[in-house]
Amino acid sequence: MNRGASKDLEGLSILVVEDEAFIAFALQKTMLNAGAVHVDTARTLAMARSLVCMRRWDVVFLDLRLPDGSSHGLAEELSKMGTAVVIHSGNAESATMAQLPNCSHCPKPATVETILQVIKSAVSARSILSR
Amino acid sequence: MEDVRFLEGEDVDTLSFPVVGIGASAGGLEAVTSMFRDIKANTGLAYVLILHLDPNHESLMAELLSRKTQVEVRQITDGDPIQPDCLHVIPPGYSLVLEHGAFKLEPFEEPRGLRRPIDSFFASLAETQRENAACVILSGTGADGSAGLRVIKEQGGVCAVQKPDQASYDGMPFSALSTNAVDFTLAAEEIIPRLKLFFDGAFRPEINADTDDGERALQQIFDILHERFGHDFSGYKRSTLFRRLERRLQVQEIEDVDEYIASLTRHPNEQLALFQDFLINVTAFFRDTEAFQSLDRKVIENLVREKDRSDEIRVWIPGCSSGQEAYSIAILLDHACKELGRSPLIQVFATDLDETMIAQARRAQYPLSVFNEIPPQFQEAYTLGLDGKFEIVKRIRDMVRFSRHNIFQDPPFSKVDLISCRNLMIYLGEQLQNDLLPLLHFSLRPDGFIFLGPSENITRHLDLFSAVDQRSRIFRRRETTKRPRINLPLGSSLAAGPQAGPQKMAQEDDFPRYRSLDATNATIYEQYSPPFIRVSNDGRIVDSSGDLSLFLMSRPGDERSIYALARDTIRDLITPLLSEAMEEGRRRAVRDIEVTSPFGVQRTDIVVHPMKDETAAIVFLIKDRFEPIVDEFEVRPQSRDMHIAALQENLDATRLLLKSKVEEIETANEELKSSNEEMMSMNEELQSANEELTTANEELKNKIDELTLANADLDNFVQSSELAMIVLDRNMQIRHVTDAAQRLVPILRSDKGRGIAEFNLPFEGMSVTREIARVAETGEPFSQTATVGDTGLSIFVRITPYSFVEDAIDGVTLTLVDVSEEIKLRHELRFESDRLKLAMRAANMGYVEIDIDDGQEEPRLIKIDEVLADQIGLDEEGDTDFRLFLQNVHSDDRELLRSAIRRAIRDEEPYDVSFRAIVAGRDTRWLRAMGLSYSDVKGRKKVVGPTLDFTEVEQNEQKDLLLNEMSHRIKNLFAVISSVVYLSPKQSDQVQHFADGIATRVEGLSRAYDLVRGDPDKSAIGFGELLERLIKPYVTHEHTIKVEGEEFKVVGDAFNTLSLILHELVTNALKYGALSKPDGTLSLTWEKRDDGFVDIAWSETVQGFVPPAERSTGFGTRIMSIGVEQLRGSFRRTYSKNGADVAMTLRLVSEEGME
Repeated sequence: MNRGASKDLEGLSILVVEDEAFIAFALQKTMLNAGAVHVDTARTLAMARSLVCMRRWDVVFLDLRLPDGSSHGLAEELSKMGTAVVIHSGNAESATMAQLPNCSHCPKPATVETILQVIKSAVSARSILSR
Repeated sequence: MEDVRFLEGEDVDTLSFPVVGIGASAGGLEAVTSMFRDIKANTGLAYVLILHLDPNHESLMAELLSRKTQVEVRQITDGDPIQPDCLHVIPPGYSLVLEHGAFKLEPFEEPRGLRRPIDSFFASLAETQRENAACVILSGTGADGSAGLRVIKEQGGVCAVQKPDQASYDGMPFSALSTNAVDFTLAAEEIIPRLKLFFDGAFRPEINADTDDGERALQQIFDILHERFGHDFSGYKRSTLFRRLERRLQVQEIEDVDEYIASLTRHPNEQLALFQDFLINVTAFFRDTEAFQSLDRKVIENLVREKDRSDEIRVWIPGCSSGQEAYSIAILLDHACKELGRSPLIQVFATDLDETMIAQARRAQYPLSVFNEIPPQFQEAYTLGLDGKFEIVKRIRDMVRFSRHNIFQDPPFSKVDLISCRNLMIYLGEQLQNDLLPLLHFSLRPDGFIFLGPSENITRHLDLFSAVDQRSRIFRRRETTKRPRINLPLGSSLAAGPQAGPQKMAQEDDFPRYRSLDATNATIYEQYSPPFIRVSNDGRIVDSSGDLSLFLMSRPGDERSIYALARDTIRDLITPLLSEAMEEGRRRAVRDIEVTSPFGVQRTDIVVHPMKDETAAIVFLIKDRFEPIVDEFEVRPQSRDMHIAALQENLDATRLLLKSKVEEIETANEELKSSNEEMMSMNEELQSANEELTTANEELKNKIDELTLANADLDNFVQSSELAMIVLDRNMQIRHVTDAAQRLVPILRSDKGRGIAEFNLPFEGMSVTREIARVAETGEPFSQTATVGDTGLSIFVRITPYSFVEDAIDGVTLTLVDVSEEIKLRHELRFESDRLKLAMRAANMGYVEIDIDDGQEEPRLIKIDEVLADQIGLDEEGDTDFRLFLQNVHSDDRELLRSAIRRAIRDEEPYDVSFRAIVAGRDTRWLRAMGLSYSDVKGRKKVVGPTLDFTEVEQNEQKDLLLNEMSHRIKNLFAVISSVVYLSPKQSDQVQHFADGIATRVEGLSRAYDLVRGDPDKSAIGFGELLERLIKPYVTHEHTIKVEGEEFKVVGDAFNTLSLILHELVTNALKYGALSKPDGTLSLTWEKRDDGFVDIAWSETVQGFVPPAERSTGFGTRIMSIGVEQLRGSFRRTYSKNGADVAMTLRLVSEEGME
């Protein structure tokens, strides 16, 4: 991981939904290092939903498998709302991804560069769309 | 003959019980049925039913009637005794009479049409039973019975008639009622009870004619009638009157004569009824045919011949009753006038006491049944046919003047040419008989005739009458010097009441009043005066006296003119003489005229003397002797004796010849007469055939109706059923073929009567002919399905025996049913079924069928097939206990399966459910059951469906799922490792130290992964075991380790985090704590809480412990905090001089694991 102080995620607010605390912590740290202004983590789907309601997120970084269910439906809803969604999942769950055409995919595990690159392009794709 | 008792002192034939004769014709069956329906079998009366039956058919009447009454019904055979409480029914073709208490059947003498069995039986009944007889007239056409009824009444019997408005045919009842002799007119069912009352002893009056009381009572009655009707019955024969009086008492149900007299006084209607009953007599047209023929020849013709246009013929018929006799004589007169070309004025005076009879006579209408009494030669000219009756033509009616007249009380008619007084005297007592004849004598003109009944005579008055024809009772008035003393009625009935008409009639006398010569003087003139003729001014001979044969010729014909009759020798003289005398009014004469006759010459003076009354007398004064002309006769002079002898001989021979000729003629005449009668009746025969046939029709009509209906039912049934049927008779010939059958086999309706063997019935593999023969022989039905050769149709052939009566086989019935469609369908079904079975077998599919009983939520029994039995691990297919079935289902899946089945039953939802079959000694099988509910053909609800073993598919899926999960976990682990590495302190100078740290942590993770590598479901591992596995590698034997706590399963997800946490604690203990020195002690105790959290106490004890400088900011501490957060717990670390103590609360138990 390049620890260089790149400001790729300058000004973004990001919600990380991940049940594994170590991973969530690492991601949060990575994103803050990359310039994100606000990174929150949710460990369960229920928690994610309440956070989604509380404020607007530029990017939602989602693990598909959560202790209380699949985040598939949430991803769909968010992408419809115009939020950039990045699915962070291990094996290329191509079947699931095919059902979520408007979501980006970040492999798990991935290098910091990859993570940042995926988020960046998801945001720009979203901003192009919203423009 | 035990039942038959005869009364002593009476006619030997009279039976002790009453006999009821019943006459009926068309419509009779119905009337007799209602008459007898409610009659008990113990009335004591005997019944005889007379019907008009077709002589050529057996009668069903007795059979039909016996079903409808309790009274015994018998058809009469010749010689049967008559018995009480039995209804005797006349057989067809016979006339019935009673003789010595038994029936006598006689063949009809009359041809059909003239037969009147009711009349003849009634007459016979009246004769034998007299007052112990009753007659009943029921429905029928014509008038049979009406004449017999009067005979019954005449003999003192009783008569009842069915109400005409209730009779199907009212001809006979109306005819009977018109006789005025009917006692009761009742509904059919009331007749017998009424007659029973009548004949019961209670109403049998006791009138003894021989006692003074009886005579006194009778006299009282005579007085009443005399008062009312002006007729005195005192002179009538007592026996007849007593009998008829008794009858009236019985009819009125009065026992006592005095009571009856009282009633009679009060009831004018009864007076009339009694009066009429007293006067009943029987009359008919041309009664006693021979007597009338004689009357015609000997009296009527002469009367007509004698009379001129200006003359009058007067006839008187006293006691004319209903007028037949008067009309008969009028017809004879009219006929004679036509024949002889004369037209004198004819007056027939017909008189009777009974006004009703006179009214009836005036109407001149008579029932057709008596039509035949009128000789055929008169029928057309003198009758007019009406509906059911006939009328005498107006010309005859105009000739007859009817009036009420009492021969003994009203002045008699006078100057009458003919008096017909038949069957009147028989009712009269001796005194009245003696009075009657002189009276008649008085009424007659000289040489007038009387005509009496066959049993009446003039024996007491031979001086008054001489016989013209003794046999026919025709007598001529004899002129007598000794005038009989006549008690001339002087019109005593003038005081008798309103009927005062007849006197005028009797006083009428518009005869020209010729003064007749006094009889005594006439004798003197005949004997001692010269013969003379009195002629009118036109030459007609008015009167004559003496032997005029010398002067007048006798000529046949009606010539009475002197000019025609005078012999040639005097005719020329008389003509001028007469005219001169008449003109001059003076006497003229010629003298010594030689009057030549065929026998001789006589010298005569002829004087013509005009008289005051415009006539003239021609007197012949005889002179000298008669000179016979002898020469011409005496051709051969013979002796006088010889001559006489020859004449005598000749005369004898002539007489013989004459006698034999007369006999011959009489015989021929008889023959002619009978053949004439026969011819007469031919016409009538046809008419009566109708009557008989109507009765026969009635009998058969019901049966025919029933048969017709049954036939129509059968026809309709056969046609509507579209049944292909062939009926064969016992000769195996076709009797019946239905339309439907014609379409299946080459037999047509027109083939009826042909043998079945003639047809080649195209049934393959089956000889129909042989089977038919077998069925006809054995009576065993036969059935088989056969194919028809050319059409390929499948026909179900059934052959059954046809039994007609008493199970005798009378042929066979072939029933053909086209079952081609059914057979085809059956084949198709079998093919479909086989195909389905094969498919299911090939797919290793089982089949379940569940019957649904109403109101049942869950089936008790289910039906499974062999395949499903094998799938679920049961030994037997078929009905299986559902609970037994469920036992082999995985416990987790049972509820799923049950609810799916319940929903299918309750909501008729299709089901599709998978479940596991757990069978001992066998791997778990995955089964899938699909199905739905439906109603079968019988309407029963079922749930059915296939089952499928998909264990292999399920196993593959499970493997995929596991691999997927593994991959996910590994990736996740890698991500964790990557994160741990990322989070490790970057400022560490010692690469080796960094690497070691990473390595030990990864090792810990790896150990934890080892634990969960297997089945995810088996992830729950004991906490103690986990601690041991994670801590042990770092512990040497010098250390004292105490691990204490209740064992519990740790949720799989917590492994990684827990291993990292423990790794940090162990690493710290190795570095600084209890594990850093040999004698360190580590105590690890825990307590599981109810909410899934576990309190863990980590406690180290070590000599010379130095607490680490690095505080909560160290990398280890960060790992701890993240890990504890991950497990939603908390931790607190404290240091003492003995070592570090860590108190943690972690969520380690899954929610499912909580108790």
